[in-house]
Amino acid sequence: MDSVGRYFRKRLGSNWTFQWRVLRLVVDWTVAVYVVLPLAAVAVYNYVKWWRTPPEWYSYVTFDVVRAVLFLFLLQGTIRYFLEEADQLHFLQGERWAERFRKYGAVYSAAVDAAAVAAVGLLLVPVLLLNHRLSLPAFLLLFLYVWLYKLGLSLLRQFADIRLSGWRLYAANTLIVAALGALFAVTTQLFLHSPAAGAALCAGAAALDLLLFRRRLTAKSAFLEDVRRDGKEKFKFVGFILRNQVIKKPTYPRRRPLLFHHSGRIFRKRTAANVLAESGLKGLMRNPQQVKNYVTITAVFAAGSLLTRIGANAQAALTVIWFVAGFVLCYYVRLQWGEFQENAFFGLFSWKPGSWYNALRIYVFCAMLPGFLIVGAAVWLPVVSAAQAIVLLPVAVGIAYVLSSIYSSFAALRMDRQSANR
Amino acid sequence: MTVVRANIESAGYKGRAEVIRDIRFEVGPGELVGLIGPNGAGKSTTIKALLGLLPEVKGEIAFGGGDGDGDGDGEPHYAYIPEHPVLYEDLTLWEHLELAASAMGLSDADFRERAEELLVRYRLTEVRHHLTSSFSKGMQQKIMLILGFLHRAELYIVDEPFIGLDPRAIRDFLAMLNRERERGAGVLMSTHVLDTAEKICSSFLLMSEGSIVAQGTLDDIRRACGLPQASLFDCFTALTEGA
Repeated sequence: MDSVGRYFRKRLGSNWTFQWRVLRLVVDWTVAVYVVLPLAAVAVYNYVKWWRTPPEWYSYVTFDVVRAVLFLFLLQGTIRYFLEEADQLHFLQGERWAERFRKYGAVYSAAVDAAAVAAVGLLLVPVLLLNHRLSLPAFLLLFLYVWLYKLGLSLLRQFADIRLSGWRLYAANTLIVAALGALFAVTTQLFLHSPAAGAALCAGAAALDLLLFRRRLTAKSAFLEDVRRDGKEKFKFVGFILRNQVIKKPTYPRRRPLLFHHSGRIFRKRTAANVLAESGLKGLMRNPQQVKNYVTITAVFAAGSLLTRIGANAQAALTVIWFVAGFVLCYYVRLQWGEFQENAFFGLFSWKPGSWYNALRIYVFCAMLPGFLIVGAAVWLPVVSAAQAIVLLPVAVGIAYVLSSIYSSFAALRMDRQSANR
Repeated sequence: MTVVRANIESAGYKGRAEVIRDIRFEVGPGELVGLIGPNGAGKSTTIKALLGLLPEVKGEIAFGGGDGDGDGDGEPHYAYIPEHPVLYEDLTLWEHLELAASAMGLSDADFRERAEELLVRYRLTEVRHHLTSSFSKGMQQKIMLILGFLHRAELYIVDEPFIGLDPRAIRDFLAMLNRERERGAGVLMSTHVLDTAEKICSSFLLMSEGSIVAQGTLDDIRRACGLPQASLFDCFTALTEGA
């Protein structure tokens, strides 16, 4: 094999070694023997059973559901080229070298995708052949089409990724997914009735994929984007495993933040504690992932309160849920405060004693208040009048203040102990 | 009268308590002392010892006068400008300055006046409300300089300030440093840019393998290496290669 091929094979080998090591972190031999193998045995047993006697719930798995699941599957992953940043040292010297390396990566990714599509197909054989009475040629053509569609979709999204950024990229991705989703829904319907039409669709998709591949391999200024995308794919599994252990560094395509566009102030009085708390609050509000988690916690408690009311209208139990929601929100925002406090920037200055503790109290109260009031509204609005609700509002704020102060005092004690043990 | 007096017998890290030994020097008001030496000589460890960041320090470090209370309160009033920018990704440039001002206890009026002046000087006014994560390395380094100059410190501890700065920013930085020296502030600056150091420093500490091998004015250094007309670079080479 030539030098490009050897180099690619070596890169692929190191990638497999990396993924294997990550897998071994989670699945050691005890987990394999006591969890993975029994689960696999149960899965195989049930799968074989579905072949013999299709279960009743198969009737709920309509062809529309299958197509929706298949489309979600199409959106996963991308075509990798196994590039690394250091490759630019070689790539800048020879474009043919770069193109061939990419070609190997694309062919390998397409083969991996084919294996994944085949696995999904195998899983869906009982549903599609036994339940929907799809003929074998139609079934095979459908999954050939799914594979070709997946490749085409990945390539189109890569073109958008290379050329666009920020909201334009977001809009283009949304458009691609919506348009190709609709097209997938229309075209896959044809496989049920006419395998010939399915074959024609496969031929069309293959021709389009070849064209896209050719253009993609020669696309200019794609190197750094390819490296970034490859890195993201490489660390996808490890990122999932360590999602609660690693502090994510936020990436901002924007220069100015959306919130507090002009570095506006939250507190008029500029004490060290107020400015620290304000910075922590801005950090929380500007991080989309943290906002998403906060909204999810609030929504779960609010929806939980409303649903509990349907079963048993016990206001005392709901009030307890409200208080629990308050503490959970305090806990969540305090976790973000911990990350904020760890930033090396704050080590550049000496802070007056008490500044951090006071800042924590202000921050926890302000950060948990909106969520606490929303859950409170879900708990109380169904049983009080509008006038009573207005009277209750300052009471709820007072309760939030007491809860957050109690929590902050304990959190500060714990943080002090951790600092002392460091 | 000194702004800092260091008398360090030894200092280092856990398990390596003697990374630097016998480090004795003073920085007087208006003085700019260049801390120079090859990689691994102990410059950064010396700076960390001054900042109180090392777990193992034997000796004494006194700020603000020989007895530690030259400014009346015995508290160290220094500004540290690190080699690598350390910034918080979620905040804008202006918000970083506000945080620093709150830690320094500056009044709002003083803060605004100082911050506006520094932003103009370093040509960052237009991007004051941008997130610092969108800045280039050089722009981030400028922020570190602005943070350092935000309050009028008695002592500036500056670690490799020229890395990543464009020529105009270097000129502005040196002008600011001179202004602060005229005000009476002392400066301890670690650098590898020897020709600039030769022009601007009033004295030098030349370190090698954890100790001071020569100190004083350029003439003192020349005498120590026996090269009367030599440049700082030649003296550095002679003393560190001979050490």
